[in-house]
Amino acid sequence: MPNKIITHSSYIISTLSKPLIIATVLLSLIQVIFLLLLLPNIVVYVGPTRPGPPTPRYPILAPVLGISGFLYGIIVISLAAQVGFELERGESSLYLSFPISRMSYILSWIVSSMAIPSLIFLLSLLIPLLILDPSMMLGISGVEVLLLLLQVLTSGFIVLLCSIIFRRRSIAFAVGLLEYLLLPWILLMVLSFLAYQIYRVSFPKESMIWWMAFLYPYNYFMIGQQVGVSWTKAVIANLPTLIFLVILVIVYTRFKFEVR
Amino acid sequence: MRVLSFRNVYKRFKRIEALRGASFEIPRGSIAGLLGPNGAGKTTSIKISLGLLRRDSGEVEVLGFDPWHDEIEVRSRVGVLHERPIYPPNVRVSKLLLHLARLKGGDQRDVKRVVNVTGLKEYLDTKIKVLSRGYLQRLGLAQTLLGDPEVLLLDEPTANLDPIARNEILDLIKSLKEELDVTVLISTHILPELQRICDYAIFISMGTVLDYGSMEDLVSRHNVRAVLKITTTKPRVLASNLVLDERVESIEMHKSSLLVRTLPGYWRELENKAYELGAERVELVKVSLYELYQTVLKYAQ
Repeated sequence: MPNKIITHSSYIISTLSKPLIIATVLLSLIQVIFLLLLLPNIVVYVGPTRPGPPTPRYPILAPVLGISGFLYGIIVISLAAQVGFELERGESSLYLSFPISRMSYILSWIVSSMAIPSLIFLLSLLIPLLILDPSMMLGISGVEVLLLLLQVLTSGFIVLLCSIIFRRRSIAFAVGLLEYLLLPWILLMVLSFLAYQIYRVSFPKESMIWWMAFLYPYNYFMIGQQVGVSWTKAVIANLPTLIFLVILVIVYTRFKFEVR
Repeated sequence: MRVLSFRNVYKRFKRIEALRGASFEIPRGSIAGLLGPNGAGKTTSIKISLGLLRRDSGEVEVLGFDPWHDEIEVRSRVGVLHERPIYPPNVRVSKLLLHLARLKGGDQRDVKRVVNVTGLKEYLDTKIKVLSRGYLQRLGLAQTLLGDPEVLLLDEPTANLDPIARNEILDLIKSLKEELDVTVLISTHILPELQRICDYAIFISMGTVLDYGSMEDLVSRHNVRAVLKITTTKPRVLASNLVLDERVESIEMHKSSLLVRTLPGYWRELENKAYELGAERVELVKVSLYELYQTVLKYAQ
């Protein structure tokens, strides 16, 4: 089974459309360039000669993750929606007429649409630091990166599930864009408005944003930092959600997934 | 020994009942036609046979395996050509075939073998989107043959092809059957073109199998016209005896054989009579599948 997954996922990657490959390369470049530009700041902030309390990590990684994380999310959503396109066109029945199980086929797509982009995202973040000065790695906390990965993977699995249930790229992609891009900001605007109306504060209280931790741990942490939320809360809330989505994909694939 | 069997299989897509208690079997080594109009349940049957669709109830066995639960075992032994197959347009023929060969545990040698058999050798470096329909169908057959399958399931293999390309594909299927000794199931709604290669037929309509069996059995059961090829050293003598028989419609005389067209329902009796008159060999060579289908349909109603 692992051989089939490797064979098929490497084939999927080799046949991906040019825009997606360009976007992935762009993602890596953005991260590398941004990090190289920020390196002097990182050296100043986390270098061994700097005295005083530990520097907040947020200002260092936030500009990089803000842009590349957005692109990374779009890439994962687009790729996960490609499964729907393959099912919609009927190409999947060609591959599934060969000795690859339904489960291996979906796992191949998980590898191609989520694992590989995540790896590229991580490597393009870490390689510039490793090449220039490995000690700088110690100065960068993985919390933001971890939360961003969890958030994007959550969206990826939602889109993948929509792809295999509805067999339509357009539906899966629309759900992905709504869930990943629009919904958190629309809800946040509504909550900010309510926060101002009810509590006369310009920023929502934690009691109003706790729900974000389930689907948007990164957003929850970044927004909630203002009101003192902890990243562990985000992980504890999101991990069961992600595991639930993975189980849903597996169960659906095992018992209900058909190729028409 | 049977290679494929359906027993009381039901399959529903929302409001449409695609299969309604379908039962049939196909013996090893035959070229079977799965015959019926559009929407009869042919494609659904093929997809269930591969484990791409799950049956709602009933039993399906392909080479002794349940295709839904033992999908890998079935797909390792079966080659499939889907109706209007979709290929990745920007991928080269060689790349797609190599990938599919690898899924079947093969390599470049398998690709070479199947492109030689199907006449695709010169198109290996061509992108799939520029192939003509005829060559796309050849590509379909090429991928079907990867991994030396024991059974070929061909869903409308001649659909959307011009008459010349149709004949080429049918000849190719016939030669594959003879060279590779595989069992072939061909699904089609175009009956006349299959009658020259099929030796077994399954008639399906509205999700129900009306009848199935070897051509000989079906012709005997349903009293349709048949053409017998009688091999003999004395064709003239035999012809003069048979021409007087009321059950004979017409006789065509060749050097050492006769082609005898029988009236509906009499081919067995005429076969026996031919042997009595000194025939060396009698074969059922032609049946009108259309006539057979009409008779089966009438009988079923």
